[in-house]
Amino acid sequence: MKGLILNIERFSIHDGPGIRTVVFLKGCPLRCIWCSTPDGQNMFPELEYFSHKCIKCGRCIDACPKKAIVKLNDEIVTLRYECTLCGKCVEKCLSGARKIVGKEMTVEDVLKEVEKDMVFYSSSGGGVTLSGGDPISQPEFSAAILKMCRERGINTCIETSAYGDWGSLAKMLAYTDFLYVDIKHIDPLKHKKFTGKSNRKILKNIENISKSYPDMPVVVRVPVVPGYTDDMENIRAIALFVSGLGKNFKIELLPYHRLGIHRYEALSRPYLLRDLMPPPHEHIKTLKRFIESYGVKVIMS
Amino acid sequence: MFPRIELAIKRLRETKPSVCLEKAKIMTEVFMQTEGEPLVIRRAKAFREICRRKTIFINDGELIVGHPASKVNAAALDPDVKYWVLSEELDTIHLRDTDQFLITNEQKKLFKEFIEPYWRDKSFWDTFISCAPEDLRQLVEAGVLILTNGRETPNHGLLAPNYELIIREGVNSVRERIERKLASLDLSIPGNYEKWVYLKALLIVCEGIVELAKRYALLAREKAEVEKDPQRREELEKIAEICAHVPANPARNFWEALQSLWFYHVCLQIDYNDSSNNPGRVDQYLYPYYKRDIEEGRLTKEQALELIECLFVKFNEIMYLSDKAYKIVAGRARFQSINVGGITKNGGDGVNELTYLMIEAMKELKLPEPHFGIKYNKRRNPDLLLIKAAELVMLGTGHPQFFNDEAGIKYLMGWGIPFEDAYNWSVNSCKDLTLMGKIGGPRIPASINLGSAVELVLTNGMLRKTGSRLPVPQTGDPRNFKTFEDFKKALKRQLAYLIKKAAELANMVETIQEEKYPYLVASLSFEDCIENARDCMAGGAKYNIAGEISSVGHADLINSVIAVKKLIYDEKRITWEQLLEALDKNFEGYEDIQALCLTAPKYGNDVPEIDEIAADVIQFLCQETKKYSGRYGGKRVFAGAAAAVHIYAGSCVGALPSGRKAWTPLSDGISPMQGTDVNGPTAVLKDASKCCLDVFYAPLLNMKLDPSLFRSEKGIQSFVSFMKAWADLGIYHIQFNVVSPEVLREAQVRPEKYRDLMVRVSGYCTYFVDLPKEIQDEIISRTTHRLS
Ligand code: SF4
Ligand code: SF4
Repeated sequence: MKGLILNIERFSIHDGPGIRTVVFLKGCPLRCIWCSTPDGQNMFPELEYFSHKCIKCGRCIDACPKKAIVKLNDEIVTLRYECTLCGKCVEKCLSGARKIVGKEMTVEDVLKEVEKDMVFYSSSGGGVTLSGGDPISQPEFSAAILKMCRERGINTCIETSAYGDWGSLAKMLAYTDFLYVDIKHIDPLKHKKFTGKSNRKILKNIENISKSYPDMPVVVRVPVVPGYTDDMENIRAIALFVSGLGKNFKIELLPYHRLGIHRYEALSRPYLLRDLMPPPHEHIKTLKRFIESYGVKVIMS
Repeated sequence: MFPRIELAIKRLRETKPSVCLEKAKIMTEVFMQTEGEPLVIRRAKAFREICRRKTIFINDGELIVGHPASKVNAAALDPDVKYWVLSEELDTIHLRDTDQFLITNEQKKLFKEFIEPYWRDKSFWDTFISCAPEDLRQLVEAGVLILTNGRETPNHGLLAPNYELIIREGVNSVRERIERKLASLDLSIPGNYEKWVYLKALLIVCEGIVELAKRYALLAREKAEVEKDPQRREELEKIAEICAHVPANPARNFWEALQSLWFYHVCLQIDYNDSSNNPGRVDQYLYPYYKRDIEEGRLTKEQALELIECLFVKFNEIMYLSDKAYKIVAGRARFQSINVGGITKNGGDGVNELTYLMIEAMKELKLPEPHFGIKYNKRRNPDLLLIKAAELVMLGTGHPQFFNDEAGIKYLMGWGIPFEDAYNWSVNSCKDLTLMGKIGGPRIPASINLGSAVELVLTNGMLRKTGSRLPVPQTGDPRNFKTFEDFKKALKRQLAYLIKKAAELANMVETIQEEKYPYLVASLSFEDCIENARDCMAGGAKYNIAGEISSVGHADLINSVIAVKKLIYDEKRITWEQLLEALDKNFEGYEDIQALCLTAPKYGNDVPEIDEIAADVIQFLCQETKKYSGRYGGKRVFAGAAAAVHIYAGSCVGALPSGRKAWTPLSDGISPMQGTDVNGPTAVLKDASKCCLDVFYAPLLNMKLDPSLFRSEKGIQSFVSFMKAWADLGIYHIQFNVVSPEVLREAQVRPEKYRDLMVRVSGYCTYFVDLPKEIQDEIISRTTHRLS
C-alpha cells in the first residue's frame, strides 16, 4: 500500500511522549487560514519555489520541457497549470530554490525510517507520530503504519483534526496509544469561516472517542490565534466541553506563529493573515489559568 | 558571583596576552653552563633554576596561587621545542588576526641576541627535518601526514600525571622513594648508571618544586604584613601557611589539596609550556579532603565552591605560545582536561557532591578552561548527573564534553589493562583516554590526512596545492577504473601505503621524543617511572600503549567514495573526465557538478548503503594500522583526530568529490560534513555508532543543538533520554554546540560563515541562512524568549 508523504522528521519532542519520529502525511480536510504547513494541505505533490533563494539564473527556464517557467519583469514565474511536476527544473536549479513536496512511499518504506530510532524510543518511551496534513485523509495507509508499529512494540500517536467519518477515525484509533485532536473553535459558524468546514462532525467524533476509548490519553490542541480564536468566550466553551469528557483529556494551547508564511508564497497562494502578530506570552498564561479553573489540565510546549 | 572571582575574570579579560622569555633566558644560561652534562641533568637544573629565579606574583583576592610565567596571560617560550615561533614572528606576533601576543623591544633584543643564536637548529622540527627520510619529509610538508609536535599543529604533552599522588604523599615522600631507589642501584650492572643519572635528575626537580612553593609562602607572608584589609591579611597568612606545607608534604585539607594540585600543574607547565596537562578525575581524588572538612565543620559548601572556582579560573591564566598556523584554529584552547563522574574502584557510582559543585562552578564561570568532561556511566550514574549537565550544555559555552565511561573502559581493557586500573581512566587533552600516572607517551605521534588520501588517488599521486608529484604509489588514472571496485582497490592501496608511512613517522617522533624531550616533572608522579628509573616518554610507565595513528577527514573520505560510486558508477550521471575537471577547477564554472556531488548521499543521515561502505573502509584502516607496533610494544591503533586538526588538514586538500571546496576545513572527528546532517541528531548518533567503534579508537563527535530543546522540562527529559541512547549505542564522545541568539544574529550578517547552521521551523529542519529575513527574525525572537 502506498501513501503520500510530506516529510519524516526524527527527534521530535513535542508530538507525544518521549523522543519521536513524526511522519507528516499530505492531505487535510480543513483549510485553516492560519495554517503553518500549507504544503501539507493538498493530497497531491506540489512544486515549491522560494524566491528569496532564487538567483534568477534562468537555468530552470531552459530545463522545463513544458515551457512552464517564464521570466516576467525580472521575476521567475511558474505557470502552474502547465507544470507536470516532472522535476527537471529542480534538478537544474543550483540554489535550491525549487522543490517538489509530496513523495509516494509504501508502508514498509515508512517503517524502515521509523525503525531507525528504536534505541531512542526505548530510552525515552517515545515512538511514532502520524501528523500532516492530517492522517485522516489517508486512513487506510495510516492505519496500516500504526498497526505495523504496534506489532513492533513502537508507541503510536496521531495528530488529527478528527474531521471525517467515524469509521475512518476508528480504523486508526484501534492502533493508537496517544491522541492529539484539534478544536479550533467551538462555534460551528466561525469554525466554518476560519477552516472551511463546520465543527459538528469534529465535536461528535471527540465525544465518541471519550466513550469508546476511555483510557486513551488525549490532548486537545487549541490554536490561539489573536482576534480569531483567542476570545474568552471561545476558550471558556472549549474548556467546558473538554471538562465533560473525562480525566484522560488535556488541553494544549498552541500560540499562533508565523514561521510558515514563506511557504504560501512558495506555493503561489495568498496568505491572509499578513499583519497578524503572535499573542503575547502573558495572554497565553492567562488563558491557561482560566482553563485550569475548569479542572482541565493544560500543557504548553 | 563571588567578588574575588569577578575580579579574577576581569583581570583575565583586561590583561592582553604577552610573551614571557624568563624561562627561555634561564634555560639558555643553564644549558650554556652545563654543556657536556647528561641531558636529563641539564633539563633538571634548568627547571630548578627557573623555580628559583622566575618572577612570582599573587593576585588580589586569589586563594589559589602560582603561575608558570611572569604574569597573568603570559606565555612562556619553550626554546628547545619551538624557538622558531618567535624567529618567524618576532615583529608581527602582536599583530596576528587572532591569538596575538604582546612583546617588548627588550624582549625582542634578548631573543635575537641571546636565545635564538643558542637554540637555532635545535627545535623538534629542526631535528625532524635534519634526519627525516626524504619521502616522509615531503609527506609531512604536504600535510598528507601530520606531526603532532610539528610546525602546524599545537604542541601536545598529552599526559595525565598522577596529581593525586603529589597531593596525598607530598613531594618529600616522592623524594624519599627516589633516594631509596638510588641506594638500591648496583652500578656494576650495565644500564644502571643511566638510571642513576635519571634519578639524580628527578631529585633536582623535587628541589625545584619545593623551593618554588616556599618562595610563594614568603611572598604571601610579605604581602600579609603590608595588607591593610584585615580579612585579606588573614587570607594571605593562610596562603603562606599552606604554601609552606604543600606540595612538599601531604595535604591536610581541601584548600591545601587544591593548592598542591595547582603547584604541581604550574611546575608541569614550567617544564613544558604546552597544552594538555590533564589533572583527570578531580572529583574522585579530591572528595576525601572535601568530605572530611565538611564533616568536621571546617568547610562549608559555599566555601568549597569558591575555592573550586578560584582553582578553575587559574587554568585560564595560562597561555602557551601558539605558532602562526594556530590562528586558523582560533581561540586559545589549552586542553587542560578535568573529568567528573564515572565509577569508583568497586564499580559503584562515582558521582558525589564535588561532581555537582564542579558543574556549578563551570556554570558560573563560563570560561573556556579547564576542559571539562563528564564521564557518564549509564549503569551507575544517576539521571541527575545528566540533568545538571544539561544546565551547563544549554549555556552554550561548549562545556561539558561527554565521555561514555563504559566505552572507555572497554578500550583500555582491549589493550590488556585490567579493570582495577581501567575503571579509573581519564581524558587526555581533547578526547583521548589515559590513566593518571600510569600511561606514558607520546600518545599521538602521527596523523594521517584522509582528505589527502582521496586526492592522491584522484590525481594519481599529485598534490593539487602545489601541482607536484608526491612519493606515493601511482594507483592509476581514475578514467581507467572500469568498476567501482577498481576505484576502491586503488584507494585502499593508497591508504595502506599512507598508514605505513604514518607508522614510520610515528617511530621517528617517538625516538626524537625519547632522546630530546624527557618529561621529568610528570614522571615524578608515575610510580613506575621511579621504580624503572625511566622517563614516562621513554617507556618507563606502567602501561606503554603504542602511540596511535590518528586520522582526520573521516566524513570527507566516506562522502567522496559514495559520491563516486553513485554519480559515476551506479547512476552514471557524470564521467570521471567531468568530475576530475570540475575538481581541478575547484568547481568554479562547474557548479552543477558540485550541486550533484552535494546531493549524493552523505554520512550522518543514517542511510544503510553508506554504512556498508564506511564500515568497509574504516575496518580496513584499523586492520592496516594494527600491523605496526609501537616503540614500547603493543599494536598501534587507528584513531579519530584531535580537536581542531581538521582546519589545518583541510587547508592542504583541494576540492573533493563530496562537493567540498578546496582548502576549506575537513569534517571534524566522526562528525558529519558541515551542513549535511539534515536528518537531525538521532541520525547522526546512529551513523557515529556504526563507525566500527570497537576498533576505531576514541573518535570525536560534535553536534549542533537547537537551544529550544532545553526550554521545557520535556526537552530536558528528552536530552537525558538522548544521552542514554548515546551511551547504549556505545559512542565514545559527544559535545554540543548550542546555538545562541547572538550566533543567529551574527549569521544574518555573515551568512557565508554559517552555512551549516540548522534550525527547526514548524516541522522542518532547515538551514537558517536559507530562510527569508522575516522568518529569521521570528526565530531569533523565539530563541531569545526560550532562554529567558
Ligand atoms: S534555476 Fe533556480 S535560481 Fe535559477 S532562476 Fe530558476 S529557480 Fe531561480
Ligand atoms: S516540474 Fe517540470 S514541468 Fe514543472 S516547472 Fe519544473 S520542469 Fe517545468
